[in-house]
Amino acid sequence: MTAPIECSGLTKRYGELTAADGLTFSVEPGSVMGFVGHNGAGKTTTLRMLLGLARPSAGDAYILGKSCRNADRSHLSAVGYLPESPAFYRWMNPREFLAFAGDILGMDERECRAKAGEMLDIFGLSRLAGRKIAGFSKGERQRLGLAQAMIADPTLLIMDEPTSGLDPMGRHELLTLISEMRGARTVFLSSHILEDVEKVCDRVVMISKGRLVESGSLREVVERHAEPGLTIEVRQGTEELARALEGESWSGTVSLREGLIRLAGPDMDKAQHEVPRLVSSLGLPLVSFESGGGDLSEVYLKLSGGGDGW
Amino acid sequence: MVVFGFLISALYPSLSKMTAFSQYWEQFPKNLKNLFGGSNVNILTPEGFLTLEYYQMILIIILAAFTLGFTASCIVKARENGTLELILAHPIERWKYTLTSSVSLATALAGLSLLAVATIMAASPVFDMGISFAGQLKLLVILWFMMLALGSISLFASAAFNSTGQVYGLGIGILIASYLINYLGNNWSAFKFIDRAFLYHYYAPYSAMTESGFPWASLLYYALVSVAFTTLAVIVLQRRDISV
Repeated sequence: MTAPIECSGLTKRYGELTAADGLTFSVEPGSVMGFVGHNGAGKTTTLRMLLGLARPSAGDAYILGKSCRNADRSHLSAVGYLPESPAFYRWMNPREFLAFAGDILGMDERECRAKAGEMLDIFGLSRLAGRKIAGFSKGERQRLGLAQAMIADPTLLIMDEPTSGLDPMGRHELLTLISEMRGARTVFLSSHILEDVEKVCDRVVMISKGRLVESGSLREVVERHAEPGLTIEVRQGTEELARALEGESWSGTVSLREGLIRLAGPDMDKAQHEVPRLVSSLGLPLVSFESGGGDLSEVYLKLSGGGDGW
Repeated sequence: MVVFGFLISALYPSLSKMTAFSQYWEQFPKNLKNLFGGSNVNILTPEGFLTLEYYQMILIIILAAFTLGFTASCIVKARENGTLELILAHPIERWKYTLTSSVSLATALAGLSLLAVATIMAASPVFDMGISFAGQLKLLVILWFMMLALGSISLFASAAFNSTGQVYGLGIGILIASYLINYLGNNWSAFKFIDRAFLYHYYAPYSAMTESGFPWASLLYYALVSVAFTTLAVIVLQRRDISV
């Protein structure tokens, strides 16, 4: 079966700057693939090359088996694209805009009207159907952008930072929608928000400074690269404990995330014995103390050589 | 445009009877007359009056403003606001997009040029101007083709440049330079050669309305400019990256 997306040595140079540097990877059919990298890592440039909006300086990319250098763009009718900041004709209402999107995808007028109504229902925009897009909130625009990308029932959906700028509710709704697509279509989701990628993706491609640093299933990537570590939760004094841990020779890397302390380093056997003693000596109430692997952000920071530009 | 054309036509019966108005125009030095439309223009005739007050400058400014705005919005402005990215991420070939923009411009300009000329034709019997239909028809074609040529240059700029301001700047610059070089060419022979390369040299509304032949040379020049710059616009958009 043809890979929905396949990149082979894909490179883009802007003068001295190399935005994408010999990227080689492929996306499995029916998967939700995360395309991960910090801001400026080359994600959007890569997506633009895939869609034929930018010309590669070297290498090639294939979407549904067709080269992005190909003048024939008919294969893009099976591809939905949600840009980072979807643009609209502000004077249109969503129904008109979706009908327009269907029209440029070659759907007939009746089909456009029917699909526009269906998309408005699915994405909760029916009550806004008659309102001008100019007055829409960021979340409403994002939903309309996704409705536009989905109108022709694409087999491949490409999304550029879909959750960026959304409030927690909008973000949750969008991630749920993406999760529900798994198996039914291939999703290629570019994001620098690693929590989102961890929530919805089953595979991941990581890039840093235009270069591929890792790819594979999410679990494999994390298991392969995450250092052994401990997760510690105290009822109070989290920051005090983190500071104390940083001062210990056996502690390694200390990071704080959502009220938990993550400790990673080579000497976790010793840490396992020392942490309860240290917590107790500080007089802090220990809630939980678990050993286990790290997360995607830890892996990315390790592989990309730090959080430069994150 | 329609209101202005009608008002100008309404002024003609009164002004044509004012000998002072004619004398005032006759007192102008030849060079100054050329700046406003030509020393050979008889201002007391409806054709001469319309040339000076409507066709030579005001109508061109109105149509040029529309042309530059239209061509800028087709490509460079659409790129700035992201709609071009959205459209070209779909199965639409860029050359088709450029040619569709060009055809839409041609259609819109045909309509506007027709409206401009039809206004004068409608006003002619009302204000007893006796304007010839054949002359207006010739003028309609030349006006349309001149704006098409300007529009094609502007469409090329829209494909090649990165900001709306640059497109407006080039379009306005070309129009002003063309007008001034035509003025210089009409007054000093040293400029005649270079004048032949510019748009205004081939736009002579008074001659179109008063002389019997059809200005084929003008038509050919504008057609060549239009085809050349539309082709360039297609090539440039085909080769460039689309970024917001």
